[in-house]
Amino acid sequence: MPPGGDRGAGTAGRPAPPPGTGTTAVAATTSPGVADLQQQVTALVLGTRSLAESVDACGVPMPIVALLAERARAVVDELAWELGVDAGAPDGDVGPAG
Amino acid sequence: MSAANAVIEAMPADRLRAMVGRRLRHVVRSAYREVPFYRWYYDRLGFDPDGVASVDDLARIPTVTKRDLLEFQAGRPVAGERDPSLRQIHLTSGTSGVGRESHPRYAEDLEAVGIGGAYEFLWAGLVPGERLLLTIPYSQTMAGPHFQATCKAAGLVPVNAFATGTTERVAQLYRFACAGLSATPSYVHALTLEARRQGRRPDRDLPSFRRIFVSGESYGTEWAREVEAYWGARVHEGWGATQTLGVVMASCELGAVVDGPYGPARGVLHGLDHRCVIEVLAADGSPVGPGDAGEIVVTTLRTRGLPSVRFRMGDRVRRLGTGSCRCGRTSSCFEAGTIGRLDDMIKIRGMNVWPSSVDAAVLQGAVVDYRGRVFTGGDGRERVEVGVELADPSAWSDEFVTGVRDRIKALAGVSMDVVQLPSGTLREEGFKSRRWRDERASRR
Repeated sequence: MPPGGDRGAGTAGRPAPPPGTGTTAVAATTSPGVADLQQQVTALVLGTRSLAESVDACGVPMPIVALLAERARAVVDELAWELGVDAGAPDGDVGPAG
Repeated sequence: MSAANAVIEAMPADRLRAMVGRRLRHVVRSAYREVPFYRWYYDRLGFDPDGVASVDDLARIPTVTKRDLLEFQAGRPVAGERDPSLRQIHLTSGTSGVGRESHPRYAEDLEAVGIGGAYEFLWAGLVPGERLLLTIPYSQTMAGPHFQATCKAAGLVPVNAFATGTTERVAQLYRFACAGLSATPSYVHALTLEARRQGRRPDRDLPSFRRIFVSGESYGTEWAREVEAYWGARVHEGWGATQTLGVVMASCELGAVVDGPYGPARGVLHGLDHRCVIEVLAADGSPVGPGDAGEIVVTTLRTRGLPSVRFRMGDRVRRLGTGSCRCGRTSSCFEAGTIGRLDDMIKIRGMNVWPSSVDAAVLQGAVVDYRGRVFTGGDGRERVEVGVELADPSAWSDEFVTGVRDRIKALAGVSMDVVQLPSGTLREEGFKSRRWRDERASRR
């Protein structure tokens, strides 16, 4: 057993890892569950874009809100990419990449 | 296989390629449109980014070097005029000796910077809530923000040990029951010597501790195994830089050093191919084949402020065949532990000598560190001297000297004199050690 191979995770007294941090590799890309996630994240991308635009257009001084909306959009774009959805396509479309 | 993201890691190769190709097209066009450096550079070369349609067009894109960036940035305000979207500025470390270019970062970059490192930590088996000791200094370089963001992306708790010394850092490993630490190999060596000096036995008295993450330097497999045995932890490696917005290659759950048929062997670094296109090119610009070494050239797919588009890193790596690792991942593969600066190579008596080979021969056991010197002897011949400092100076012996000389000859191919340096000669360097000087008469 390599050094540190079985120390730590899963031993008694250690909290279980959060969902989604499991250790099984599956053919996830074509799973129906993943397709649902991609649709959800696409909606989130469109939603955070719309929110950021609305905050800009609102006319009420709220830079803190604007900066949070900017960060929300950036986080959702990264989330989308890691789910195989390209939120930065040059034609503005958002959808499963590739 | 311990997946950090099975959606990406199990994606069929053709889908990944199409995804990357579409993104590459966007990256090149938006770089020209929005990034002053690329507009200046491509206009100067007469390059039209609209001609890039897919990954097949990659080789048509001009490469960029550090000197190109420095030339553009000379005389211009750092990161341009006031930009309300600018959120951070990262300077490169300057260890290449050429200069320090600045990298502007926007909100998108700050969300992207930690993701690659999160793959490294999660692949290694760390889980959210575990504590990671951070030692690389927090300054105007990307390192500080990068490691904070990586911990955040992996759900780890950073133990920020930047502002303290080695003695206290060892204590913090215990105080915070750390699961791992992140440092350069040189600094892991220094921490190990200090922990030994304190009489610690982390393999027995620090049960939480199980992973050591190294970066920034090459290292020997025997050294890595010694460190693993002492700490009761596996060594892992990640590679990345300011130009790649963090880690873009990392070892998997098998670690950076694996059991080979003849003893410890090099592990594999897996490319995060959906975040960065990694080319390995020979001197003539052609891609090297599996098993061959060449220069790392990167094109980042998640950077907005200053993307790297075919940026020549000046680092050398050995490319391995796809699927080289027993873990079964199908991403691009590179040899762990041997990435070094192209300009670090020294020609000695007609032989190409890589300092990493001398590192592997010397940095073992109770060796604190060493310094190498190439000079012209009184008889006009090339001489090479390796000055070694031991933790316990009284351990110096003829047997020790012979052992080191024989290993150097075997690994580097050149005979070198080995001399002892007094205790305290070598200043502790927490970041990357620069060990070699070339003082030959012909170099003046």
